[in-house]
Amino acid sequence: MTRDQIRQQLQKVFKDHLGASSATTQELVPQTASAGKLYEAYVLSRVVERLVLDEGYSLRLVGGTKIQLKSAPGPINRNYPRIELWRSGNRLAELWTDVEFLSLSYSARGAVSPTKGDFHELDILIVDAGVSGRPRHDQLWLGIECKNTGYEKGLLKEILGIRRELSLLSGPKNTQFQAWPRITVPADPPSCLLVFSTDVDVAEYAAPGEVFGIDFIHSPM
Amino acid sequence: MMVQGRVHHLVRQRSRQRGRVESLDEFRIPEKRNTVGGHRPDRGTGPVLEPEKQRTEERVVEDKRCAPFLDAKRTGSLVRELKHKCQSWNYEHACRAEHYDGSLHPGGVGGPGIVGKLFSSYVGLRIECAKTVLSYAVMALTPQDCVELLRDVEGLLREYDPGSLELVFRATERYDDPRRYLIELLTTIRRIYSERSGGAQAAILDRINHFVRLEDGSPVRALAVAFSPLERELYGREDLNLAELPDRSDFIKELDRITAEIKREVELPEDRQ
Repeated sequence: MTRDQIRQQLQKVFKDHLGASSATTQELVPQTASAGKLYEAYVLSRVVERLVLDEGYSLRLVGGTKIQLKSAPGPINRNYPRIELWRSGNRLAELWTDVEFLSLSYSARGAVSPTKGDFHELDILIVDAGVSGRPRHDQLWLGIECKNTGYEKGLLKEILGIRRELSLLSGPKNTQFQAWPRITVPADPPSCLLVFSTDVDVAEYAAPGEVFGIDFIHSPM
Repeated sequence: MMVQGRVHHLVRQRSRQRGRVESLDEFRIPEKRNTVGGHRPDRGTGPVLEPEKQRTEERVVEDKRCAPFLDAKRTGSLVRELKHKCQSWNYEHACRAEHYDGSLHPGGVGGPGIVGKLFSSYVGLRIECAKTVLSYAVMALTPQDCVELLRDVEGLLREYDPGSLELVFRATERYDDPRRYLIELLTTIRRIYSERSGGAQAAILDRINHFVRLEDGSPVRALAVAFSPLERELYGREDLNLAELPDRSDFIKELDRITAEIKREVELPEDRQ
């Protein structure tokens, strides 16, 4: 085969396949329907990166071949895909998105069935492996809120409330993590709580988090 | 493929030409009897039998002598050997030298005159074989060809998928030898596109696929938003793919084929060893 023949074949294969692919994929996303979830997907990609690079987990998507972010939160449905966290051949935890957890106050009351005020949504959660339904507050390893908006006082109040319903303030306690997002947290149970925001002003609201164990992270998409 | 077909065609042509010359000059056989290799009904009768047998024997020897050249076309190794030989000699000397090695036994064919003619015929054929093979050697991709193809590939990426251009070149190990670099570049493109996502949020899925795998080790196929019942009714679908891994098996297959062709046409230093 001559250089010109190879050149022609390369041109044909790129034109036929890559040209068509780009055109097709642009039709996939009606912006209005997906805008709210894009930042969550972006943060998820950052979280899995840290879990592998900093924590040494091996991550497997099980229960399906696509990662599904839910437009409406709910309990853990094990028919949905989730990401399993493996280390040394053991499945240690699972990562879910858009799941409601049962609050500390619900547990403290010893109530039988939760009311609307007894569970709260988190965008990304890591919980004990094998949990179904709404995980209890003490089954959470990590909770993440993703805010692709200007960060305001109301959002700070919201996350302080979440922290309150996850743990009691305490001395430093070891988290389930070795490095990321943090080794200890002043909370019992020692769950980690992160806020990712596209707004650079999120740093202005970070001070209360130093006391209660909330990490505010400015991460533009 | 194309090259191989052309060689066979040329060899068939040479065979016919050779048969005609021999029959006219040496064996005194009318030209019409030899045009299709002796398939006439009276083939094998009368005075033409022995020359026909001789031609057959000769053809067998010729075919055996040509076979390495045809193989060489495929493997490239004997082509290179011939090229090197012809750099120090000329190719006619090379062919004669091989001939004198004793593959043809003059006494067994039928006298010095015939041997002389046969010898000429053989040398002629060998030269033609050598010419054919050398023409392929000339066609093989040179380093300069590969430099131009590298530019072409860069241009194609820039035109059809500029977003991946930097990634492809960053992920490709650089070699000073442009032939090796071209092959490495195409291999990287194959690897990237076999797992590269499409869609508006392709970069996010690509990053996830760096760190998350399905149970069978394959990449995550898509990143989607699962709609609520109300949204399902509104949009008429269960979910919406933000990014997905398109089926690029045809692209990969074609790229593999072209890369294999290039590998056949280039002459990498380690192949000579």
